[in-house]
Amino acid sequence: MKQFWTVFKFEFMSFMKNKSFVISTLIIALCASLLLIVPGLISSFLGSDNNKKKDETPTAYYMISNDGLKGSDEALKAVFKASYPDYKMVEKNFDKNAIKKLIQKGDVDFALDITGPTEYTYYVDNVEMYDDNTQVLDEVMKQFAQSSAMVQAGLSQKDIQGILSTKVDHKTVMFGENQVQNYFYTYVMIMGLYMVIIFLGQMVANTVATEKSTRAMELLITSVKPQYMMFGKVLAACLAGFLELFVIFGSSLLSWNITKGGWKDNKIINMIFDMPNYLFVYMLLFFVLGFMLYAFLFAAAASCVSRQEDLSSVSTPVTLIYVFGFLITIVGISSGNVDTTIMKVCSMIPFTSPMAMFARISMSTVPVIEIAASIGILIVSTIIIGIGAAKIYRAGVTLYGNAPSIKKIIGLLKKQA
Amino acid sequence: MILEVRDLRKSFGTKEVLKGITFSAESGEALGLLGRNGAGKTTTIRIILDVFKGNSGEILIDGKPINYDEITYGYLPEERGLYPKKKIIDQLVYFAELKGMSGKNARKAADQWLERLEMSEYRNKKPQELSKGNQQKIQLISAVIHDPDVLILDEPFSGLDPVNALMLQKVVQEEITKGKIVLFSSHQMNYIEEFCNNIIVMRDGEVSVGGRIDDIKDSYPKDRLVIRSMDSDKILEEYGDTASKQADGSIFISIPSEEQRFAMMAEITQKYSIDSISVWRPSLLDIFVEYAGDDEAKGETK
Repeated sequence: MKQFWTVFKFEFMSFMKNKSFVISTLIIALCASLLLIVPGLISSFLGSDNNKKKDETPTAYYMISNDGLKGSDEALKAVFKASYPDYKMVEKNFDKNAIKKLIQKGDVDFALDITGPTEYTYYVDNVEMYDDNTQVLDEVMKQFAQSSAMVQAGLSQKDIQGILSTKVDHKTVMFGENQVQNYFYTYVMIMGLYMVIIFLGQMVANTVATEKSTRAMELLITSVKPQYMMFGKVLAACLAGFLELFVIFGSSLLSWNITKGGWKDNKIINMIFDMPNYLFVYMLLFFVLGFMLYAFLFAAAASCVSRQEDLSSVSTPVTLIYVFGFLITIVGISSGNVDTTIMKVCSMIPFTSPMAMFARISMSTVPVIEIAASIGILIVSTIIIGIGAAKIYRAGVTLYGNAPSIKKIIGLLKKQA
Repeated sequence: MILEVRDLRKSFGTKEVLKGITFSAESGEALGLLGRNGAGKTTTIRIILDVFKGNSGEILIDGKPINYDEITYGYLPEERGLYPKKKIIDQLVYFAELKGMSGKNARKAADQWLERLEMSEYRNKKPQELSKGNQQKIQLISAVIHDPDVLILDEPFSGLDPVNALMLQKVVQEEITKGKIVLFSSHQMNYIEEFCNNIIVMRDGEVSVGGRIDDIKDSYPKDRLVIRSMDSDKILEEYGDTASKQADGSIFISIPSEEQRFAMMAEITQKYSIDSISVWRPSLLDIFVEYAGDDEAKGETK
């Protein structure tokens, strides 16, 4: 056991002394923080974009080009103004070309051309993600058309108001997860898992290949039990990866907290940081297990080559399996349905479950038994793969020359067993 | 303590690399492992070190199967086995800790060894910044730092300048005197002669000859004289077919039988002015060529 700690300490310190690892972590953390701090700071110092425009209220033009509506246009105008309290609604006759220039210049935010009782044209530069002007206007026009019709049918103004002001109350009782909200942090977490596992997995593979090519492995293997070597190495990398995630997400969270005020209008950012704690625990669990599983595979692959240059040929298959799992998960969460058969199957297969099961837990309601089964399978396979990797590592000492075939590796494993 | 290797066999695939190796080595003595490239020396060493197992055969310490948890090893591999990009002190301490030393003792021992081999200035450097000879010194430190019971040195002096070689020789000599079992593999015969009382010569996975170097030398027939003389031309003329001039200027004369060697030496010294005359003894190189070479090479020397 002492040997395990010796290896663990040495390998962990190697990560801490590895300049590219430390610098890349710090750069990512810095970028993430800057991305969160800078816009936030700008908004809190100068006021957000909306506040800035409030000083000079954004302008919108409208015109009523339908003669049939002329009679009721005063009422219509009042409704318009009431519907867009943030805007200075200016009635102006405009032609399409002139308004295009004004809108593109930014003098006018949008323009409305009411072409009929239930028809209008909306002119705008870019339709932004949260642009709800058409929805508002649809509603306004609809109400207006309805009330006109009711007036014509002889209803009194009071009745009409009573009818139109009918309110529908609704409550949402959520049994599962809010998929829209969860989508964003699931995405961020899966991306984080993906990057760290690929990055550090390759680093583990590199250290093994270095040991092999410099023949330090011969010295190591005569001094340490290969299981200690393998688990020490991989757990050290796992801790380093965890630390990396911690630094990146931690600094992001801190930056977000500092500039929270500036972000209050940005739903996506807030959704990401509004992750429930239990999910964080799952994230950690799947990170550790998934990381170890893949790090073992990478290490085993690397012990089969004798030169650093051959490393990619053996680590590519491992990467491919991993990318496959990643793509399935991303497709799953993007489609909004994470409970498809393929996702269910993938959340049980140890190679894909760290991402697939995590995505399902986060975006849907997964029966406890399934979660337990998935984690159980993952733990058992990680241990088996770890022991297998240690054997391959040891057997790898005798493998010099060309990269061996799978058959040869299996043969070696059998011999070791 | 006696290390015995008995009837060790090993195959890689269909190729039989070791075909029954047997030898023993005692504390306080160095055993030289000789053989051409591919004779099976490194495989034997690796099996002794438990890098992998032999197909059959035994490795015994004092008659009992070796217990790898009890016996400590120092190993200096033929090819460098250092991390090229890690600080020297860090990796020396790491290897020593893996061999069971405490961190504190490992650091102390590493510093002492660095000092002794005049390497202190390289303490915080990386092996890739060091010359080949200096890397070899570090490699030797990592083999002896934890004071092992068995020391296995595979080509320890290759790539060293004479001053460094002398420094390392002292270390190795000291380890032998301390009573360690030292296995020594080298192609540099002078080092083997210097350190080893016993050798085994391996050929194609078999021990072709083994034992004390003196005994092996004595086993050769004493039927040849080596002469250095100003009168070499006259000698060559008189002894005709039985005499031959060697590249280094000396003359070999074959004697019909061993018993006549002293009489013949007396005769020649009387007749000619002789600088030196002796009965031919094989050098280690001669033994090596005869026992390690393939059959063709053997034919040529005889």
